[in-house]
Amino acid sequence: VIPRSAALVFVAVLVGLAPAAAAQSDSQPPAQSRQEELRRLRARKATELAPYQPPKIEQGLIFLEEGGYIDRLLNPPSGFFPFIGGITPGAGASAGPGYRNRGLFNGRAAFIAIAAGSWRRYWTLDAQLIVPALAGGWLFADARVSRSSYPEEDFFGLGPDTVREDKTTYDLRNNRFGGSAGVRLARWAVIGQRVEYSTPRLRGGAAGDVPSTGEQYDDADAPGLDAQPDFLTYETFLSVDYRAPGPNARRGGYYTVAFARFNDQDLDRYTFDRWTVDLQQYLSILKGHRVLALRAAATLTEASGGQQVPFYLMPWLGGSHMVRAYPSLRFRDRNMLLLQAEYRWEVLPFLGGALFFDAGSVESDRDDFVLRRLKTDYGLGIRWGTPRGVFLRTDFAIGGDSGFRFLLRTSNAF
Amino acid sequence: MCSERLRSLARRRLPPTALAIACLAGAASGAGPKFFPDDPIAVDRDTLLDAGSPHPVELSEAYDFIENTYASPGDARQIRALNVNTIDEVPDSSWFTNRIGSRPMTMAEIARGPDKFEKLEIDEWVAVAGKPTGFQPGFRAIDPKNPGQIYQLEVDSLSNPEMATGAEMIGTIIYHALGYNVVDNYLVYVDRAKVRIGPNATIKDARGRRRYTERDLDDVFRLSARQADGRYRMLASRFAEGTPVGNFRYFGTRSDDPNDIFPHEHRRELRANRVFAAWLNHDDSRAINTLDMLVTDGGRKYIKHYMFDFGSILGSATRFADDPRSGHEYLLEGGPSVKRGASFGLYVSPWQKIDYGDLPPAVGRIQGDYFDPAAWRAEYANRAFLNMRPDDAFWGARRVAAFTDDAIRTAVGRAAYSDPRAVDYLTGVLIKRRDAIARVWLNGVNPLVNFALDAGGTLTFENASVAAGAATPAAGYALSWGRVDNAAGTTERVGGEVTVTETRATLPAELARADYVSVAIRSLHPDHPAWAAPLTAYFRREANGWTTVGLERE
Repeated sequence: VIPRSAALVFVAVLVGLAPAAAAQSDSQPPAQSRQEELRRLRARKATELAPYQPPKIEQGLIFLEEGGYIDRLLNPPSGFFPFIGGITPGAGASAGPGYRNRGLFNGRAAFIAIAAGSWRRYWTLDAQLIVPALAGGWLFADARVSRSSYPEEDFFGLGPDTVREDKTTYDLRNNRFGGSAGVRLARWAVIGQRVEYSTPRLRGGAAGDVPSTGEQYDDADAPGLDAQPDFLTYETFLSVDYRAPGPNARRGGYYTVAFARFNDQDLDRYTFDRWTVDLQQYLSILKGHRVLALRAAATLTEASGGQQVPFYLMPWLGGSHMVRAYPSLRFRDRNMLLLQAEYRWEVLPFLGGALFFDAGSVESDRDDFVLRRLKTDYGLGIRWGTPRGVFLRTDFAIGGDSGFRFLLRTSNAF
Repeated sequence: MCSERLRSLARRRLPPTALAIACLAGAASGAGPKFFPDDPIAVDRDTLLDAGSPHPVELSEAYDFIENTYASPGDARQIRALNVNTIDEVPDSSWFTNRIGSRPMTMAEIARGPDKFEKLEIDEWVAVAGKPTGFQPGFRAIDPKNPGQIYQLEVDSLSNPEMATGAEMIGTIIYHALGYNVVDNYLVYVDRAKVRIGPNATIKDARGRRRYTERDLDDVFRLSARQADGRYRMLASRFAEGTPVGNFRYFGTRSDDPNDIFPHEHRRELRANRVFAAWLNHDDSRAINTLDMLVTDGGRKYIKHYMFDFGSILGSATRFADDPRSGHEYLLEGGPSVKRGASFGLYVSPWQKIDYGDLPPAVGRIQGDYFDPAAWRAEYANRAFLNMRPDDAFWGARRVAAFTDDAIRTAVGRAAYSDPRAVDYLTGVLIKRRDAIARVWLNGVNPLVNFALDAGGTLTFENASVAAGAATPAAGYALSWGRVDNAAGTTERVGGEVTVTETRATLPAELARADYVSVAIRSLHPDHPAWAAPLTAYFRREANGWTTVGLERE
């Protein structure tokens, strides 16, 4: 980097001042020693001193780095920050103001609140109080309250054989109040209980030419369409997580099993149970420079005694984390099965490639799952991030209703 | 020779200060003699002019990476280093002090390094500020009994106790012995309960400048490795004397420092730092890890240049063990990454096959068996490293080879690892890497050194590669003598080429009365073709005999 003033002088030298400079130099008797020669050269430079002037780009980067503005803007330890991400699958890119305070109770608790909206008019208000470590780290707890509006939730009918042309939309609004607490059995295992009170309410959707769900389906086709109760939900969960070195794992596994009971608080028609199993295994190849990531997940619901599972709480398939050539909420029914495999390879320390294959289905009866009815896709992806996390993912998935789908997301597939 | 290089620099659009650059190895003006009476100079007096009040040079880490990766700043031509003296050595200066390889160093001297105190024993610390930069958690503190001296204290990670602090200690000791300016570092054992926060302590973080709190202090210790007695092993870096004025770059000169006249990419000690960085796997050797201090000496101010921050050398990435890529590829390196990407990962880089086994956590990840010095890479390139020529590498390799096994073990010992396996493993790795450097870079040029011509006309010299055990003796040495006209800078050959098998020869009788003589030597070895490149030694007749005044390697 050449200082501007020095560069100007240099140009002047080139265009004709050199002889003058030389003459000035020649006016001195020849140096009689190496030290004298060096002293003269330094004396000459002493007449040309100028402070370093960083280029504009460097000035800007220094400003950002010195002030910590990138962290301050995107991920401050405390204070306001711009929330950027997804509200819910299918909401589209979302953003909004956030506030974080990690200093509550002498640093033992954190409060996070966001108010975010998306270009598809989804919005959410969400606040959490998190106590990550109590009793020497053995216990954890959190409390959460949220209010949300999802005005264009898709519904194509139930089962794996629905067609894209049957797409309808509904508006789902919900208030949720709850919390969870648990015990850290080991550094890699937790067991906990979650309690939540929610008030889901449906209205007719509004998405251009797409009809409202109520116009195409009735309560027999879509249980819960006519009336929605409040729910009190209890969920017990067990997680084992020994992925290493982080969520974008090179080896290890992540296993979750959860059982939830949704209690209809108003209508005595929609009380049901839900089992969720998510098993992820990461097999290291070539010392972790290549990884085979495998996932098997299932969500099974069961309602007895004349109760039903409301369609808007049924498991679904599609979207960027499941059979990704299909859009979010594409298939929905009482049971869901998902099988995924990704071969990931390291290109650069912060860039990797992935070949993936997804298969999954939904069925009303879990005995109906058969391989030939699984929806499948495959594709190629690029991941920006480190073993500790992916911050940008691009996937090109082949399959689905339209033959292919391009995805740009800020999280890993699994 | 030198004036031609200066004109060439001018064509590279360097500023007028660069135009004025002299070469210590030769006259700056075609009108001057080849050798001045004071050649070879042992000291470059680059502290004589008052530096005044230079503005701190702030660097952007991101810009430094981008500029060095994409823009290739500085003068890229492979010219001889400009700050070497006429015998191809680096004189002492504000940058460098000749130590190991230039004079004997005792084990005690190596072990002591730059430290002002033999041991730092401070029971209670007062935190005075947060740590503004760097990946390693820490804070700045003082000893309440000596509040004028600030230390920066840093911890080790939970996953790799003793790793970063150990690396810092070893790096400090070795870089000091090599000749660089480094700050004092001490291992201290800190009781959290005996650290209090000073009344004016502040920290600058993502929230801006604010008061330093107990919680900040807890955050430092929370994820830090703890000793069995409950204390924390920490590295205490004593602030160097003077005022910090920023960092130096690996190219260009400081435009506000009258003493800084040699473009840094043409300073031998910065070019050859690539050798030392390769030896120690100092992949973080970049401008941000350097330090310029404004020092006052007898009312005159000058800038002293430091190497700084060795926490991520050897197998350490400070908080984690080093990535297996470390030292093998730049962060962004097109060829292998394109191959890996386009082949869907079927192309496997050689470093990806290395099995490190189960290394002690204090070591991190480093090995010596597959170390290829010439292929070694920092995290990203810098112009001085790229400009390193075989003669620069030879100069550096001689210093590395000067570390005996005992000297290496002494340096590793300063890390005070609690696991003896870590001491043994790192010592072994550094010995292997030292030997690899000697094999590659002591044989990249004609490796003859230490020329002497005694009053009786007997010439002696040494083969540095043979002395280091990096090669078998040469089959012979072919010598051509000459008479040197110092004023004109020309040499008249006297007699034909003669071959000797020993590292000694006799001055031809007809040159006994000459003022300056030269001898060009080719070393003959079937396995080392680079030895055949002639080097020329120059001698000046003095009252008591001959003085070696010049050495030129081709």
